[in-house]
Amino acid sequence: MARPQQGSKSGKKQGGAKSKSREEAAFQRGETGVDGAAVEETKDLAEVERGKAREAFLRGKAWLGRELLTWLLFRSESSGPLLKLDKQPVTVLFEGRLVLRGVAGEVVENTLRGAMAPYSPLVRRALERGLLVHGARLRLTHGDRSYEVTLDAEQFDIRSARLPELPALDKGEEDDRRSERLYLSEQLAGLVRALIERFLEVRATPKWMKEEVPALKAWMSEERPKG
Amino acid sequence: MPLLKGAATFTRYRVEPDAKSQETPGGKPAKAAPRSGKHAPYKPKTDLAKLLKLRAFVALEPGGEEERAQGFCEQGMKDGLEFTPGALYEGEFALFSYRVDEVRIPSAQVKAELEAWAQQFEAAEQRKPSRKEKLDRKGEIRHTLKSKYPITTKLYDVSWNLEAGFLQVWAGSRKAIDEVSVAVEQALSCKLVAVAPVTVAMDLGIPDGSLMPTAELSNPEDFEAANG
Repeated sequence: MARPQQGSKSGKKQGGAKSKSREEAAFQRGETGVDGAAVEETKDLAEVERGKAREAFLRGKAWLGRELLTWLLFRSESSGPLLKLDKQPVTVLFEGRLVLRGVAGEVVENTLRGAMAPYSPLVRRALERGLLVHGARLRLTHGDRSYEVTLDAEQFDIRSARLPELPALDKGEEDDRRSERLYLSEQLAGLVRALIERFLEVRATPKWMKEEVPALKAWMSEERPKG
Repeated sequence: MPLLKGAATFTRYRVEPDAKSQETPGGKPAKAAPRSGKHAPYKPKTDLAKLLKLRAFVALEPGGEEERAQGFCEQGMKDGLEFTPGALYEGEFALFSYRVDEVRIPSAQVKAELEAWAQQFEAAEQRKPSRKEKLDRKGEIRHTLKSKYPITTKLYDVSWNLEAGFLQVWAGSRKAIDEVSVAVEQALSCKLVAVAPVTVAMDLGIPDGSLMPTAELSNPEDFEAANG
């Protein structure tokens, strides 16, 4: 509260003017009502959550990564390689943990665990209602090599990757081990990039809206997984 | 050392020359890189070892004021600061590490000691300590506690494929990744562009307009309401 200056008339006048301008400013900021009493603003928790979810959806165009991972899940269910890299087929299998996120509706995040959780009808129902895959554990097979990696839609960092088994090396062969790990990590990063490129090839063409999205929606509404 | 042991966790960047190094002699920026997906790998004009030595790790001084020190060192060798070709290069890769030394003083302990001191001060002086007095005392407490806590050392590996033009920061924490990537950009006068769907789309020359969210997938109820 403003304290009017005491001791002189002009001081009282000044103090009154200051107090009045403060009250006006508080009213304009929406902190007080017309009666000067404080406005109690109750924030809707659900609205706050949705706001945060929208922010996460837009940050770094995370929606593109989410659509990619969702499309990969859909494509990975049908047998057969997703693409060929260096003349070797690349297949993708989702394993274990799956994080779904959305921007609308009551549920903004759902984490599922279980060996076959990614391909469960529960996931399809959630996808059908507007959640998209935000994070997943993937097994990528390239020729006879198999990699495991955790990806998230926003950063697409390579996390907790399990590289193909290396032959047992002695301590003196640390340099060989380093070279091998560098080579395999490059291979894995190349695989992830190839998958991104494959998705973008489809996503940037009219085929995406005409064929892929209807096929995705039909798959989401299927009652049981094929096979 | 995540480069050598355990599960592999890294962030991958494409290395590009920064805007300053692209400027023409007249001070005008050079033409933008082609959006074709094919970038000529960036190579620093100065010797890489020299650039890293300029920002090499310098240890904390015993009894000094600083609580944190950071800088580059040889890959996996926290005291290796020579960056000899044998230590720095392996095939087409340049390998080095970013070392961070830190004294972590628990803030709860500082707070507890400060409160105890404030109570003693109030009893003795019949007044509460001023903000400045509190701040000075806090500095003294931190300085005293510093010697009681060991310095923790962390090494973050960096591998740079010079032929392909991609650099990997081997770290899991986002804070560490950001710190190392900024340090690399400053040391090598380059720009690091993270490999993610949005940057790959830029590489492929896909216009932003064709990458808007698909409403049918992310907001199906609103889409159906709007489209009957």
